[in-house]
Amino acid sequence: MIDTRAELLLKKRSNKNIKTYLIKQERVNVQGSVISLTFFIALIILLGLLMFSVVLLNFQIAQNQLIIDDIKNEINYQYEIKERSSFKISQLQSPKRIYEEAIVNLGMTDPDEINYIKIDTYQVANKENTLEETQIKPTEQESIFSSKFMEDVYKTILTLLFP
Amino acid sequence: MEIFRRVKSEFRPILIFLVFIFSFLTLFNRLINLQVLEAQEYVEFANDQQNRNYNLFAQRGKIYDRNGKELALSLHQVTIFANPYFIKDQLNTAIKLGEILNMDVEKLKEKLSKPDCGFVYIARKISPELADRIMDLNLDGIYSAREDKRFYPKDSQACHLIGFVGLDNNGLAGVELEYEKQLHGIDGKMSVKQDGLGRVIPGTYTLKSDPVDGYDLHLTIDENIQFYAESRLKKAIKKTKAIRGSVIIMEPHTGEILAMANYPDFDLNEFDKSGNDSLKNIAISHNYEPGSILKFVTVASVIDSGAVSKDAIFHLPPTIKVGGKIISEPFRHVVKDYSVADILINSANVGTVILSQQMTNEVYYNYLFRFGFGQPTGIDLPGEEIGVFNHYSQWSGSSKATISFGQGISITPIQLLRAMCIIANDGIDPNPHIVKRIYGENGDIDYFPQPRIVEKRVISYENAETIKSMLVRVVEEGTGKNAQIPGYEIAGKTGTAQKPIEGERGYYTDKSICSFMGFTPADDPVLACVVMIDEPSTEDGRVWGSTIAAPVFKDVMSFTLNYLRIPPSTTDIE
Repeated sequence: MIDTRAELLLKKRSNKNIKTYLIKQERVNVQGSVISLTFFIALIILLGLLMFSVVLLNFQIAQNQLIIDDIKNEINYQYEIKERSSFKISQLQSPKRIYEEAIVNLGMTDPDEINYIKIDTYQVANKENTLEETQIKPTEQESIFSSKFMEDVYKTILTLLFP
Repeated sequence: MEIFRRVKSEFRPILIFLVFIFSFLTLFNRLINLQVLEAQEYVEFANDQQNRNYNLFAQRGKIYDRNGKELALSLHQVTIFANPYFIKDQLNTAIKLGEILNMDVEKLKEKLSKPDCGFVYIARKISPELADRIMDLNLDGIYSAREDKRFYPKDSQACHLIGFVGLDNNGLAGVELEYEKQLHGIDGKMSVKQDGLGRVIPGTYTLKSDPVDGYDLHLTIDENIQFYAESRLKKAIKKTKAIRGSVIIMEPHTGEILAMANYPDFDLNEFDKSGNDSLKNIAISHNYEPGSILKFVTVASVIDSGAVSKDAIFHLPPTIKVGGKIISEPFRHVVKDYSVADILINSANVGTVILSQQMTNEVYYNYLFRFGFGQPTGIDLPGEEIGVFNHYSQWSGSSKATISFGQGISITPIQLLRAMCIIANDGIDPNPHIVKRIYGENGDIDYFPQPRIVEKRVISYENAETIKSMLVRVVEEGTGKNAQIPGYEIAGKTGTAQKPIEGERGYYTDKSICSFMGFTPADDPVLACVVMIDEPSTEDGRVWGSTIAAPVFKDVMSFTLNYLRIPPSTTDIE
């Protein structure tokens, strides 16, 4: 009997413990699921934010790339203009063209004679009025390519091209 | 029966298992084939299907003269091409393209009517303006791509020297060919993904390698000197109705070529319209018998070998018979006593023959070879000829005698000038070259021309000075008077060579090649020049090196001396 009573008492106590345990366990479970849910939602939000920032970043990169491409195109375009201008300048500066311009359009002719000015540097350094003009047999090229002549031709051409 | 049923039921799972195993093995085998053994092949196949590869063309380097003036440059042009598969209305497309490109509609239609052909050129390297007009039409299957085209702003100037490139921007002649590797650069590669219909998927560009632009070349020539030499040569050729000619100006100490003019010439921008004769660089690839102009080499050889003293006097008959061949003087009919210098000054054939007889064949051959005959000068231009100069073991009894005054030997103008420059350069081989420097990728100097031939002494300094003084007397007292320039001491030699009859023995009596070659100032040479005019004719019949070539030399050198501000060295300016 005693045993039976003791057993009953133990059963009651253990039932009570189990109940308490179960209640506690339930609370823990609920708390755990809430935490998990919160964590999950937070993760989703974080992932969303991450994806959004990635998309935003890509968009920004794409936009910058477009700007870079535009700038590159502009550089290429300007470079092409520069190259074409350079080609045109080279054509205009061609000795053959300058010579033809001088003869045909500007009415210049090969000179009959060339005057050389012979300067004695020692005399120039020590005296005044020492320039001595001498003449030699003419050569046609001096008139065509002397720097003064070239300067005049360039000026005339530039005036004609850009009035 | 029962047993059979039992066996059947027991073996069924085994059979099914075996079938599964077999199927699995078959699939596994296929998988290994696809993924391992043939993987690379399929990857490439897929890449070919999915990727479209583009060449990023490297910009070809520019060519400048010695003062930085542009002689050749590349500009972007546009190439129009088509994929006939996507063209629905071939006729209409052909008509629209034909109108703008001024091309035959039928030919265009034929090109566009090949649907199996995925790519066909419509027009290559057209102007961007024209290409814009075509692309504005938005025609199906018509595309455009940028390509570089070579332009030469000075048209025909220095055409043989600069050379030209083909449609694919590869050098075909001149410096463009010789320095192809440096000028061309390295093309880059880029790929882009495409969909099943061949449309480009945006944002899928992959740069495989960047293009490396070609290097810029700076030549030794001066465009103004070149222009003057060309125009003066052209004038002389037109005046004398000659068939061709050449002028080369060189700095004897450095070997730098300042001008290399040839006639006939051609427009570099339209080289395909020129005949083959015009394309030939006469200065380096035209062999001819030089005639008397070669006598200075014989004199230099005989003095330097010690066979004859420079002060020796020779008793010269008007004719001499050597190896069964009679050699005579054209103007002298009496016996005369000539010194070695007199032989050169009066361009005496008999005298030169006698001088050559003082040397053995081997010694004379070796001297001629050391003066550069029978071998290339090493100039950095393609297509250089070495002339016709047989080994002395193949010489006949009269070969040495005829070679001594410039017959029986063929040379090029550049070989001749090199030989003269050896005298001007105190007996040292000058190593002629055309490229001054090459600028690398970042504008740094990448290359200075290194002598291809090791500088070598051909004759002694003293003997070179002796020959110089004799050549000065040739211009002052002898056949070269027409080359005199007031204020400057000129050393030079004339040459009038009869032209050999092609395919026969003997020489034309009415066809000759007139030459003059010299350098100045004689005491410290800065410029050397050779003038060669082939088959000139005049009304008075005076066709000589002294009357045809020497005046050209005089004008060209006068201009160059003035242009380079080289002061007069003598006081005879009155």
